Amino acid sequence: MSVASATNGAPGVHPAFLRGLGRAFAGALIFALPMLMTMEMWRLGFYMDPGRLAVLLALTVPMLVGLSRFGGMRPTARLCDDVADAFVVLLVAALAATVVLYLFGVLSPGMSAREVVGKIVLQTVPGSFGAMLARSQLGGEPEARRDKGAPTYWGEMFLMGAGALFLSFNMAPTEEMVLITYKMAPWQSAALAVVSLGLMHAFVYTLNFRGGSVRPGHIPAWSVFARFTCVGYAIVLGVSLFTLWAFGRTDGDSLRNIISASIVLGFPGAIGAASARLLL
Amino acid sequence: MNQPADPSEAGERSPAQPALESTSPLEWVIAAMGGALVAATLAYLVICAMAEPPRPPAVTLSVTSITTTPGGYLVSFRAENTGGQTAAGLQITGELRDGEVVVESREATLDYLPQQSERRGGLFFAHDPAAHEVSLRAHGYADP
Repeated sequence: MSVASATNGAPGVHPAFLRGLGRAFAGALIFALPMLMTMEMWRLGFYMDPGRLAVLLALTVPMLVGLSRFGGMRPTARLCDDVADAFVVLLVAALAATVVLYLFGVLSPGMSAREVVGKIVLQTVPGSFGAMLARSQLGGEPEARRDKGAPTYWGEMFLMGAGALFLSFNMAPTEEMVLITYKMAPWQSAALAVVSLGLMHAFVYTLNFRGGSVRPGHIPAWSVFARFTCVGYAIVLGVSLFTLWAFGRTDGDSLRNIISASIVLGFPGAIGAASARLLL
Repeated sequence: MNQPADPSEAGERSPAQPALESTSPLEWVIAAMGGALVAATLAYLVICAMAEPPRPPAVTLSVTSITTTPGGYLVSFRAENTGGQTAAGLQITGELRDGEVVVESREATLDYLPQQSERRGGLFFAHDPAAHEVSLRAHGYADP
């Protein structure tokens, strides 16, 4: 703490922090608005299993700490600063969700505490991701100041998982997910998996987006594909399966349908995973 | 955070410590509030999960008001679910009766009636409900 006051000066700390809070609020709104305005999300808030909702919220905390390491509200020195940031964005996201849901009339008197808490918690998860990313995407600092160097292999895998979770959160609650699964023949599921893999690889290695990776000349293409894209896609499928389970979409369904639904949800998840590596 | 190239900062920084910020006391306070909120929410959800052996929906219907409308009469009702599960697609029938004789029957569907919560709706009748006995019944629901 003495280091903080010495380097930043007491007057400088608060305006910058308040600006960070404002950005986090904006980020929570930008990223969570599609979900705040989806009725399936409101309904999941009360009929989703409370235990699974607790698992979701509990997993969000380490995810946010990890995101804070790689992007986050500010450049952080120590892990405990990342933990502090994670809880700050959770509070901001919960506040944003409560205000917006109340204005929409989705929260009203006569609802049980369980319903209100469920609706808010479910929106807090994507909102807190948005709040955490707000700094890295909307922040005014020059690139160099928050550059923490290229993430490690496991760091990249983590980022892909976070990106997949965020994008699959957008789609998983909707009825269309189930409908698409029922419409697809097995060969179409398999084709979608291949397309997802191809897109993931192309996004990061071939299309030369800003933030994309250039494959070092001495590493063969198949090795990069196997170590990054294939493992990444496996993580995407795992995240999809987890999201489907959390939302109760796997209950009582056949194994074939569960696999098929994971692949369908893995399509946006794969795009999210690839984008996360570009954006963060 | 937004002070580019602060000379005093540059001067005091040791080489091992790059331009990274520590957490201010204010932020720690807000972080603690966030942490407390998350912990309390988790505890609440876990308690809900453990204390909720799937108790089926228990629906109570009551008439809240009877008003005249241009085409007839509106019976507003309140549906309360005191059970432990959500009722989806809850069908509600309202009848105007004269003893055993059903004078008029109307139906409404509530998309969702969550556990321990209430929802409101209305039924339109052509006959004056004040002149008859009003009976409300819940027929069936689906698990969401």
